[in-house]
Amino acid sequence: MMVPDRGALVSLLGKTEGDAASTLAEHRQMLRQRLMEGASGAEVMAALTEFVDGLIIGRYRNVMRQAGEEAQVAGAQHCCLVALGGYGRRELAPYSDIDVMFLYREEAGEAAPALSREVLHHLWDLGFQVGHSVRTIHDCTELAAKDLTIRTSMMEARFLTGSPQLFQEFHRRYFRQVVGRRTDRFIEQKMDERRREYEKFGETVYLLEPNVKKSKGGLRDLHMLQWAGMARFQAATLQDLAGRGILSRQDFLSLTDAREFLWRVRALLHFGADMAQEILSFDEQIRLASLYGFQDRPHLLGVEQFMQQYYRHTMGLHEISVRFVDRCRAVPVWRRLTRFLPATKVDGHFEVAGQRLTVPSELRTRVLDSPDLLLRLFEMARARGLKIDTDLLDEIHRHMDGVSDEAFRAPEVSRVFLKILAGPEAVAGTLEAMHRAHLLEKLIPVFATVRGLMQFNQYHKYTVDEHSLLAVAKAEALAQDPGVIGEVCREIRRRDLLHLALLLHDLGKGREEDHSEVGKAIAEETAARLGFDEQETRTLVFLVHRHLLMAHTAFRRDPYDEKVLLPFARAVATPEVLRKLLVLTAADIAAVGPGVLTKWKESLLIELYLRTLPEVSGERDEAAGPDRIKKLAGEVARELADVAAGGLGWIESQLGQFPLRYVYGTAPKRIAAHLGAIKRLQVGEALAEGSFNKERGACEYTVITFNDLTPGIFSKIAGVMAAQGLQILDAQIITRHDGVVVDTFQVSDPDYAGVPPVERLAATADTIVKVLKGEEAVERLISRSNRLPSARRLPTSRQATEVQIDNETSDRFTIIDVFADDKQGLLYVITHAIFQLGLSVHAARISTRLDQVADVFYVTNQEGVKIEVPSRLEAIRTVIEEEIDRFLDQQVDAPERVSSGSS
Amino acid sequence: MKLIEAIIKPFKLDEVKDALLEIGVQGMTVTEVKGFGRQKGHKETYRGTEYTIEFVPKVKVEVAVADSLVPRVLETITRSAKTGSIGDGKIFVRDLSAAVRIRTGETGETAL
Repeated sequence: MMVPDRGALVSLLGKTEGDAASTLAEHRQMLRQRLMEGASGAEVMAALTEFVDGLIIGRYRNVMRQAGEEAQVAGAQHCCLVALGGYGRRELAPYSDIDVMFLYREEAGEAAPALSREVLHHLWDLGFQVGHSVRTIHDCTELAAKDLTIRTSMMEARFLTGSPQLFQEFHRRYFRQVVGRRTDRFIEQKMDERRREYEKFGETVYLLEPNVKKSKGGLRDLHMLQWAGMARFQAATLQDLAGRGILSRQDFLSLTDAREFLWRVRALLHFGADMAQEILSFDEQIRLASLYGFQDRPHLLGVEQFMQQYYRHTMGLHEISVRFVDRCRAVPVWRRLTRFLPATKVDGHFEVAGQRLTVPSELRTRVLDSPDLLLRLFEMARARGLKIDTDLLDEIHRHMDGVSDEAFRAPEVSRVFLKILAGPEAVAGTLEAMHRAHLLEKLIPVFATVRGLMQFNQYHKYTVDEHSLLAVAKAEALAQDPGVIGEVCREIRRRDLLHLALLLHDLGKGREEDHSEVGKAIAEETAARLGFDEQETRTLVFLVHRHLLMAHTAFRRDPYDEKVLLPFARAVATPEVLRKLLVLTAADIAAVGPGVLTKWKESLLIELYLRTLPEVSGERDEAAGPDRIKKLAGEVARELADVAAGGLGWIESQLGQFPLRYVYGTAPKRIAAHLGAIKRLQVGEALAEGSFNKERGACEYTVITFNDLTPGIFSKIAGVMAAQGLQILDAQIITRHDGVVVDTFQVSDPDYAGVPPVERLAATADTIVKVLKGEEAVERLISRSNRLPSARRLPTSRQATEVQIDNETSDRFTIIDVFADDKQGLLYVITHAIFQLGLSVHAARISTRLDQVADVFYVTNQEGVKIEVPSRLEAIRTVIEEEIDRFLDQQVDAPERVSSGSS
Repeated sequence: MKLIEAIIKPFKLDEVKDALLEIGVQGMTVTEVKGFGRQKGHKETYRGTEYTIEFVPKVKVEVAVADSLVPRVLETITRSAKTGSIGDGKIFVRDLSAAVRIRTGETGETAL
């Protein structure tokens, strides 16, 4: 054979390379065409692998032929080309990297580097990204011990051309010396590696713009399974695993389906971008959805249907992979453990071995058929931080598909479910496991419909189910937050209700109606399923229905505007609901995506929270600490000096009798005045004093007495005020621990434009004392006065009266929140109703603004204890609401009579 | 050309945006910012712990406009961002020496 001179060789090679490049381009074009016409991803990958194999093998042979006899012998006997990684698996996507290894023996001499260089340059010229290495067998085993990636890629080595004997020798030695050794460590390391990848490419399957290869549920999870299978069972392929019964038939089918789906999507992405594009962006999702023939339906876009399919595949793939890999590593660990640690039976049905929780096989059927036991299984795993055996989870999943959710409608099941929701630890993780086992949807049937339902907007990063579960996780994390939100979160009493509301809040998505309205119905249905009482139902429904209220109010409205603040307070109504709503709002925002809940947003939410809290709790902030008491006592002493009171010790002990909110919410001067009066107060007496407060432009009455002087003190004072035609703006009712009552009222006096005369103040104060001492009857005063149905202008449109009972906020008191339109005399009506109900008011906060009252009463029954009986609570609520409405409607119904009466 | 930078109360954003669009402003940049002016920060007490709110959350709106539009923009922002209470914010105006629309390469006022 004539050997061409160097120049001719170069030109010849140049020509061939040019041809090869255009052939490659043509071939890609042809594959793109076939793919568009419906060819499978597998077909395209196989065709491309075959084509590239041809190019490389052809090139190797050409170079060998042209390099002289010595090189030919070396190339055929002492060298070979090996495909690695994805190329080794014959899984070349259109623009995948090409990973090749040039394997040689020392005998190859000079020929080896030359040959390998030529092949490499050829691939470069064709525009491939090439991973290229030149190694001896010894290098291979040595490098594999040091480098995890190299170790993995060589597990998938495939012979291309050169010496087959050399390859076989490599393969034999590699599997004996590397793959089969330190398997546990290898699997652990790969899992670590994958976990780091999740951190980088998405901790959830439900990323809205996933990476088809590296995100959770991506092709990498499948590789992970194959690597583990290869290391543990020396099984090279899925078919192999399935054939040997290591992989169940069902899993095998799901995996191959998911694999084909991802392969095809990946090929389309590569062709779409003309590069190795692995991210399924929004634009590409739209393109692919229409390519797959998904049509927009009224309330579910084509792209959302496409992505739901995508997530179903990736979720399935991820779950199978995790289970499988877990089994690969777990078997020996578990056996080793149980050799020393016999499984302990717990709770009659469960078995704990190490960190694993399982059900012995003879009891499985019984557990699977008992919703109650299933829930207890998850609760036990949660409470003890155990991991439920993957096989068992698998079995539950399979079993659940044939079980009706009606079986889960039982008080005992609900009880355990709420226990799981209450936590405090590992709530989200447990719920997620229940969701994966298809158990959660038996308790909340709607959860099945939002599985993998994406929200096609730039704002959300996760699908609805993932977002909901993540929101629960965020709420759990917020409980550790050192700031105000964390503090509030830790104060929440019914964490289960919060978590349940977070699970439900977005389940109304993907339907025609507004998702909050659908959510409301879902919340009602869930409350009924779980057997909630009236208050639990109301809280849950409110939180789900109005889950956007706080965000909207905080971000779009002015919290310093009472027209904003009061309706918000009215809607929220109780401190406990406010706390839950704050945490729910923050957790919801945080679960939209990383970095969405900023400090900026937090501060707006906190501001609204702090502004609203006094409106719903009747309390200003409570500071604590003996230092402040001492300091305050000193300040009070200075004010008291002229009264020559009992000194600092006495003042301190007196302060100790007051509730904290009084101590920290009252000016030292005023406290001094009150203490002076208390010192003068005789048993069986009452002191009342009126003065005009210039700053506020209102009269102020202080009443000091003992709470056993007469029942219904508050109601009686309110009655006197009403009879006198006074409008109560604000009231503070304080009952000291020793029974001393210190009530202050801010009132406006419509009879006097400016400062009312001293006689007027004295007369009112005097009447109050008389009534309290029983010398005058309040009913008679009122009937004598023609003022009650006063001429005070009513708001034009009447707002619904709202009376809510809050039994959660305080351990000692039942709290009654009242929101209503204001009308002169209303407070008397309310307090009278409370009195008639046999309740005693220990504290109250009355505020009137913008024709609205927001009143809060802390009450107990006559024995001084909180009311617990639900029917009694409901009766209290109804009676007060009816009394208010009757009173307010009186005037609305008969405006003429009122105007004539007051003229 | 001028770059007008307005620091406003967050809940006023929609109003300001609508008002600016109405007078022909083509685009704007909005940033969540924190800071303080004469209003200073304040302390909030919650359950006895003091949380200093040194910087108050605000929104920064930036609009680049032709000189001729400046007075109207200033008037519009002032009117729509005003609540009359403390902390309504400030507007700063700076000279803008150049503007380029990246897609077309247009420069100057046509790029605004």
